[in-house]
Amino acid sequence: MPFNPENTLWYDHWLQLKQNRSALLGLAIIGAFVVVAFLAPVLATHDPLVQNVSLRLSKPFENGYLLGSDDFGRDIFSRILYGARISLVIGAIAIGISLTVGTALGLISGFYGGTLDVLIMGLVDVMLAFPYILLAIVIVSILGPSLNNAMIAIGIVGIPRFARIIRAQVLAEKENDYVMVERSLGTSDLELMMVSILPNCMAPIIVQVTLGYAGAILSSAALSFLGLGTQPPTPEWGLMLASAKQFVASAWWVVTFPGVAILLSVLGFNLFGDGLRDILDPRLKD
Amino acid sequence: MNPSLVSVKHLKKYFTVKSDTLWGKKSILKAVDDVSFDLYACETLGVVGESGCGKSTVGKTMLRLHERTDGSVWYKERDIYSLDRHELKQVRRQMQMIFQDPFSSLNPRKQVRDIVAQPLRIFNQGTRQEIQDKVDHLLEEVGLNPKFKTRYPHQFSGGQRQRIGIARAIALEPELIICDESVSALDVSIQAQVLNLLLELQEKYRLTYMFIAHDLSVVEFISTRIMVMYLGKIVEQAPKDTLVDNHLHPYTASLFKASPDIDPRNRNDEVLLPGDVPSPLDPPSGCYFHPRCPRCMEVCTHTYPETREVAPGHWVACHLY
Amino acid sequence: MIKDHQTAVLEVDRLVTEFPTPKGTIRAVNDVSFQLHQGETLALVGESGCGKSVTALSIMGLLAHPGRISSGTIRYGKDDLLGYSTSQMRKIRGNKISMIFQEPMTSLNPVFRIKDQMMEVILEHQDLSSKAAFDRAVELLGMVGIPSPEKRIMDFPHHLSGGMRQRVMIAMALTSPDPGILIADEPTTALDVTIQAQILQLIRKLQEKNGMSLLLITHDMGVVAKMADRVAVMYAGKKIEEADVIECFENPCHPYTRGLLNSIPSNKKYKGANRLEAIQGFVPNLLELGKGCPFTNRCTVAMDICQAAFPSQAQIIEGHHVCCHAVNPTDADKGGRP
Repeated sequence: MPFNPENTLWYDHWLQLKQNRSALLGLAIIGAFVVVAFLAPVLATHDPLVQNVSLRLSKPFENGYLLGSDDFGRDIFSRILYGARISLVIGAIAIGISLTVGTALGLISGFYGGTLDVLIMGLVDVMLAFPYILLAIVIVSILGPSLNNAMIAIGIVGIPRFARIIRAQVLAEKENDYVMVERSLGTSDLELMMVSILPNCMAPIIVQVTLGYAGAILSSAALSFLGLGTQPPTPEWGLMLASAKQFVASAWWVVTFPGVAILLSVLGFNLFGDGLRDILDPRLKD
Repeated sequence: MNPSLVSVKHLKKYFTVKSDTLWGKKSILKAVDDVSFDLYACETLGVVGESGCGKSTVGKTMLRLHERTDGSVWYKERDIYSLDRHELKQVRRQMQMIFQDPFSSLNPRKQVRDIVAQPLRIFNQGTRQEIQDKVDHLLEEVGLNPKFKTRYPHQFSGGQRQRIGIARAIALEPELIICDESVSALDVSIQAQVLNLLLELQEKYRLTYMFIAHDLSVVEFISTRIMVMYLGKIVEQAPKDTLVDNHLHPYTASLFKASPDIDPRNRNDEVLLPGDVPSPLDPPSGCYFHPRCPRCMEVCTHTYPETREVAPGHWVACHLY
Repeated sequence: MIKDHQTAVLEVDRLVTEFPTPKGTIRAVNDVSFQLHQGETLALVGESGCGKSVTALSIMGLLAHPGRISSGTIRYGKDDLLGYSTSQMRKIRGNKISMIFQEPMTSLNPVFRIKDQMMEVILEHQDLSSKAAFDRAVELLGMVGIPSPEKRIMDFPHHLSGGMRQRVMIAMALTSPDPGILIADEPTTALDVTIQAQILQLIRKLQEKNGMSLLLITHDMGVVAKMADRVAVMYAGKKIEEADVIECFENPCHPYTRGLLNSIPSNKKYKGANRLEAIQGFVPNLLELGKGCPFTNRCTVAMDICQAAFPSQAQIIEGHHVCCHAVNPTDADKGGRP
């Protein structure tokens, strides 16, 4: 049986997306970001870790450094390219953690209701009562500062949002007659949750993944900046900012370019996420 | 008359409703309040009434889609409320439901073939190929081209979607189909097609229908027997012709009067039924209909009338009879 | 009752309303003309997607983005409403031309009392003190049959039943001392039959009292039979037949109008029958309409020419017009029955 993608609701969504310029811009930025991450070894002009102290703090276009060099004489351009890889991985793993755990909790909570729902949502509310970044800092402090632990912390902090969004969607979806029909036919709870209801919750999940990705990149940069995430000499954007902060006045390029990289990637995910939300979840528009 | 297929005895379904204020008391909504009737094989029992009369809840409680509060539902000498999970599954195979909203009763992310195949798959009706052949056959049966089976529900119109729902309901060749406002959301021209389809299928598969609707003209056309409900109670029940020509309960009479006639020369502007349908949360004392009833007597204000059989098969709950 | 079938209070001429979508432009209203006369009730009938509601919204200037009127005129008195500015339109709306909608639940703002919503409309169009506006609001609620209006006016919309909310909507539509035109878009579709009968009766009484013209938009032929003086039938954005109400029910000429009447199960001819004479097939996708008559694919008397061109309007008798090649095969305006 041929599968025709033009039949699906996703095809309609794609048609709408093509009309939305800022979402397309966001998508283009994300695309560029992914390409850069994959092709970093090809595009880089230098080894991101090799120091050349004699050429430290070179200006952009000086001594063969496209965007200048940092205080150890490392090429900022190459470090930013490699930094994209790390941001991409941090985002993917952190979101992966939030998504799987959050979805599972939200599905169970919304589907079964009752005491289970009260318990899970109570836990989620407690987590939401802490400021996002503060909670991440607490978790990293407990686990110890490292790239892996930063990803875990960001992932855990993102769970409540996914859980709440999915629970709300499940509650709405459960009211539909098709759930009652399938239940009356004797469909198992697991099949109902995973095969029937979950695919109908994809729209807000995808929106939250894109918006959450931006948040994850920002949080990881913040944790690294505070010395709780990635450790030197890894070329991570937040870390590059942190180690360059004393040169803000003297060498603008050392802080500007990593900052612009963070800004652009976050902007890309946010634009795309907002565009997707308009299309997939028009109720949330305002 | 044919043997009784389903027998509903003193069925009650109450819902607890939280008050809209924060510390308000919970109140009890008597959606179905002591309802008894029989459903005979191969007949179409029409159930009419206005919103809040509990007609949909009766259907869902009969299939145990809601748990009852009290009473029993007998399907072929077995109380379906005494069955275990496995037995219930087998009984439900014989009792299917077609819903009102063709947009909410089909899963939007599933292809039509998967929707129609689901009951066959759950009840292991053959190999994948056999099931797919059966799906093609079912789609043809309800007047849809099987070549569209890989499409998704949103690509069909309301009438076509309702046909998909019907294909799913007849997949397991059930004995009884409960149609819950199944044609109410459709345009008239499409509604006529679907009514014809339901009648064709009934003749072909010897189906029994319970046809729940608020539109008296539709119920009058399709039913062999009609039951009128008001605020969770059955007020009158009779074979169709008896009910149309010789209805007794004042509420039935006002329903007939209120449903618009399609003859523009006949614009009767007589006194209409005054007032609103009371909230089922707080039904009036005595006969629930007495505050709106043009023939209300003193006894109606404090005692609910008993249901009496005034002629064979014609039951009415009114102090006048 | 003031009925003057000479004076047109509203004249819609060759109206075309379009909605651009990613898959193409939908012509929801396609070259529709009709007149609404002083004091009469014109029913605009058709099934979902036929463009009847879009016609009403076009008249009111309430089309939602991205809908647009691409050609035609809507004459109110001497002026073309399409040339009006937003502020001029606001003066007309709710004053000279009012509208009530299908869903009385969502047409009222849930966070304001009935009092506030009614007084806002009254003060928008009339120069009254707020005390006088309040009294007028109470008077209007009494007029639409709401019991103890001075108490109900303090209620929030959710305190009222659906029928009562629709009465409030009618009262709000009639705040002006001289409402010229009331457009009622499926005013009773969401209501129970006994309540529907009450509301229809109320609208007729009010119309008799103040002589307003009513444009009634509905899919329900029963409501049409009860309310209308004249009927215009729409299908897929086109007006296909227009006639006096009795003529329309007793001598429908367009195959669609006939099919629509035959689809109603309460039709007398179905006494004891066990099949309805249904129209086969489905309404075509508005994106895939050709030049021909949109009903061709479902029509039992379709001919080759029906695919090629939309028929011009033929007169059957005075005031009964129909667009059908089968009625008028030569496409010349000679009249005659099929």
